[in-house]
Amino acid sequence: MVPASRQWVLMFAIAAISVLPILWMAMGSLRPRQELFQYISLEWHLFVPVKWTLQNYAAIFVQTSKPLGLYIKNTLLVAVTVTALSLWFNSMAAFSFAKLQFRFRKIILPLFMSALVIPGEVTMVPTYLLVHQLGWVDSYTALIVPSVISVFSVFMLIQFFAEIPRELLEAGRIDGASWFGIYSRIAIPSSVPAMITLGLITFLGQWDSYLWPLVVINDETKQMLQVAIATFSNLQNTEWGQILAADTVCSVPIIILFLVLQKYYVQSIVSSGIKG
Amino acid sequence: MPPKKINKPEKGVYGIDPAWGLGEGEGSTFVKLPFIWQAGGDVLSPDASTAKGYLDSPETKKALKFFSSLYNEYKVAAKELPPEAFETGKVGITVNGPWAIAGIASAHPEFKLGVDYDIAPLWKGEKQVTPNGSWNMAITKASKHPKEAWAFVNWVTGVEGAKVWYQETKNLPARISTAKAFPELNQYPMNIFVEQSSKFAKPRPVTPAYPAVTTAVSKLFADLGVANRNVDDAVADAMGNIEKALQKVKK
Amino acid sequence: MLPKGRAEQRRSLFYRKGVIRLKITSAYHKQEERAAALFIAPAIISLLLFTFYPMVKAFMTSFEDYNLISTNSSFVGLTNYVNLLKDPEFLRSLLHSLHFAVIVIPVQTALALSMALLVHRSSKISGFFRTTYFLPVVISMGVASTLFKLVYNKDFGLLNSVLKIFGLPPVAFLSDSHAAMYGIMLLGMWKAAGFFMIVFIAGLNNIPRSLYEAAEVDGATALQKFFKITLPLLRRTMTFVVVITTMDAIKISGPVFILTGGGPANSTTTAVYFIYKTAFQQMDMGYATAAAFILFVIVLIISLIQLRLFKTDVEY
Repeated sequence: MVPASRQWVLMFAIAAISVLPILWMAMGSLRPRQELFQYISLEWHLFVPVKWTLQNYAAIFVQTSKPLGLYIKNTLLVAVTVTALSLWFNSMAAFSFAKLQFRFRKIILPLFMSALVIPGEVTMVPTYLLVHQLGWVDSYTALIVPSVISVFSVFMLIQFFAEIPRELLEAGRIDGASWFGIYSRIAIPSSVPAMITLGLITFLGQWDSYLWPLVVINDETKQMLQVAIATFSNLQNTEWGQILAADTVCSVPIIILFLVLQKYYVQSIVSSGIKG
Repeated sequence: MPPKKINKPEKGVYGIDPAWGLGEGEGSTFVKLPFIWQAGGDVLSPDASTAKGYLDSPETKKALKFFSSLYNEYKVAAKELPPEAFETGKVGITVNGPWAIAGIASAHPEFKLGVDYDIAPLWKGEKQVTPNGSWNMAITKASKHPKEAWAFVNWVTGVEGAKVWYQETKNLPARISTAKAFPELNQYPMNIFVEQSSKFAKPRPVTPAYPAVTTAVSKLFADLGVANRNVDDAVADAMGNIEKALQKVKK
Repeated sequence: MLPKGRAEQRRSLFYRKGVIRLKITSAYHKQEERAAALFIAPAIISLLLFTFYPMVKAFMTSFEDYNLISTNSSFVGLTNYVNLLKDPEFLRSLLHSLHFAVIVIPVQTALALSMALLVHRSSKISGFFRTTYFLPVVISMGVASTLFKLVYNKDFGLLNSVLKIFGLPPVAFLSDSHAAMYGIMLLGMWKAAGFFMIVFIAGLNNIPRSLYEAAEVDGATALQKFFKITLPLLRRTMTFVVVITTMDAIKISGPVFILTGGGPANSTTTAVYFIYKTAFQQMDMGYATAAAFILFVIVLIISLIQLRLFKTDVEY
């Protein structure tokens, strides 16, 4: 196709475009403020600080007006809770749809799946009003409860559970196990990769969530990470060094998580998109 | 008069940041309204029932034309400024509130008030007007504790409460008697703000439709500054949105 | 766990004792039904409460004059819809969304496919580049948007520094109302191309090697192989990518919130951002939900047309 050498140039160019902004962010967070907007031409120091400092990091964790540590804690709490509940309830529903025989299954399943096409943009306002009526505004309940069930997750898990032979489950039944026992001791262990994948997707989605917390959380001490970071950058006296530090702190755990689990993550995209 | 002498756009140095750039949001509206007021114009009628005859008055339009000319004709204002432009010598005149002084002092200790920069008294157009800002207090209809809420509002807007409010928030007190009680508010530079606010401050339009009003106003200024739109067209757009919102709250 | 054989044995045991079997199975089925009901109950309740109920409610609200401040609502029929179709700001926001979609769908798809073609082979080096290309996908939108606010800065941003190195004029993505939408597009593609690259890689790996080998025997050029084998056999993947990209593109709002706030001068106010502002800044819920439904119908129609156009009979 393209000569090999040109292909290499292209590959490196795309890699640079993908990574340089991230690198620029991380390195910028390690610069003192006087240096931040200093190096703008092609030279080593466009990316590498002249004077390294952890000042920005100290500031974001110490400052009481922008308690980044608190926002991370809040976000972790919500994200972990949602991920755990989501794996549990979605897998139970998927197991039931995939393996159990019950009346109205043929009606309930398509109805359930039809929710896939309902866009969040349409339901956001009434959902907010509902959450408001329930008295959940400004509480984590508002962030957690509506986020647990994901039709997409159920859809994916059905595909995985469908591959478990029914005989295997029935054998368990005959040995006296309850359906819950079969679900937890046979179905779940056989779909660990899928569960890791979905857990990762759910966690990332929660770590990223911006609009919903922006709408339902007003109390600043309960705010989520993304909203907090966005707010920092809209302040009158924007401390860009600190924003870059906050951005970096927010990205590093996710990048590490991704590098460790990327096999599953990539696999999930592949199987969810292409299988059907 | 546009500040042409100190304007060196080719070097990235601009004469003035007239009103916090051209962004969206309440802060943006807050600092832009005085342009209209100083020229003798207004946004809404005094009873806040209509924008007709106010936002489209010749005075208002004159102010808007002047604002637009800073960006597009004289080019003494930049559509986009680097961060901390004033502190780093990229902009000559900036319009800001008393809170900015402490911010500059802590972030740029090398940039000293009285040495590297100074505070000018409020300029004068047809009138002298500065926006009346800070926080408003209200008790909602659905409040479960209206009496207690009233007791709080009554206290915090009273002489003693206002002292605590100032100490905690550092927002200029709404009472002159409270301002007198703090020496730093009677000395340079804060005395300028206290005096001028007490003489020239004007509140923003008071109407339940304010969310629509503020959006329309900040967009109006952006239309003129950023997009260099025709003043009549931009005003007509803003009028349409404001009137629509006013109609809705009247019902 | 039981080996398959034993289960079969047991089952055949039931068949021999027909009467008992009937009794057991009915109890057995009842238990299974009860278990199923319990297992799907949380999902069903949640879906009814947080998806279907709001959907129905939204539909009703869209026919009402419902302001969150006064909390009075009154039925106004089609007024909201009629007013929206006459509202230049809403129409302009739709236009902005469509502008975004029309550019991003082909460019991003071509980009993702090119990236996939570059790195789809399974080797260590390809793997390294794949991971690199995928990194922007895991950077959250909030982080990416604040970062690009700096990257795009006219005087000090990384982008303009790089443009200067190549002798190109600076671009003011944040303050030029003609350029701003392209800034949003660039950020959107930077973040999403890696995701669709992976999807394309999966599609590419599904194409049998033997087809290419056969073509090589026939002396086909690389371009011929691409247009005669790769592209037709990627059709299903392509459909998936294009349909998903379209839905995401028309509903674009993420970067708008933080990077531009819809500005400068409303030049990046997209439909979803318009809906958000109408609902949560103007508190005009009826008008906002009606706008959301119009957008929903547009997305639905476009998706259906695409599915029809891409309808494929190529199998592999």
